[in-house]
Amino acid sequence: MEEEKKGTPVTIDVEPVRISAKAHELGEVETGEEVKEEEEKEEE
Amino acid sequence: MAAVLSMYSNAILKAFTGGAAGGVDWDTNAIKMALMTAYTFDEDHATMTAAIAAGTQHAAANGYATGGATLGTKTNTNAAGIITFGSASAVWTATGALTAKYAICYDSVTDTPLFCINLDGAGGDVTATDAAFTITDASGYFSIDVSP
Repeated sequence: MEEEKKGTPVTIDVEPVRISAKAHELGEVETGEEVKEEEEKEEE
Repeated sequence: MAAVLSMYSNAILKAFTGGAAGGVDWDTNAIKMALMTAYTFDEDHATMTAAIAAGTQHAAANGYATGGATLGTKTNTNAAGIITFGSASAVWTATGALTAKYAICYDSVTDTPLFCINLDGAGGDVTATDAAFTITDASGYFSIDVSP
């Protein structure tokens, strides 16, 4: 009887790459009064 | 050492700008995985043709067919703002010793390389002999996180 061939398998497990597109803060929002004050200061 | 997966820049670019003819289509187009015996990864390889030219694809021998294996059962899932792309495992049945250092996944319709897998993480040979050579992705190949 022919002997069964035993091979050598290989398995590569891939861990996924994560691309981050999460929300981020764009900066503080200035109110109308604050903007006015800043403009006045700049004019001075 | 664990395998390392790197994305190509054109995979992202063509997802947004490729249009109907040139865009990457994970679901519809034949997505293939090619084995390379030599390669230096460059994220800016714009086409699979260019990527192959920069290295050496495994010869059509030892259970490998030129161009590689077509991925089956491709999936994309969206769970809590995390979109993940995966597929059934890529499997070759080695005849004798099937040896490779890298695998490149690409859209075969638009000739776009998507990602490269450094099989042993260090650019070394990985070999299957008279048995299965398997690349598996239990948690997907890559995901995009748009969660808040």
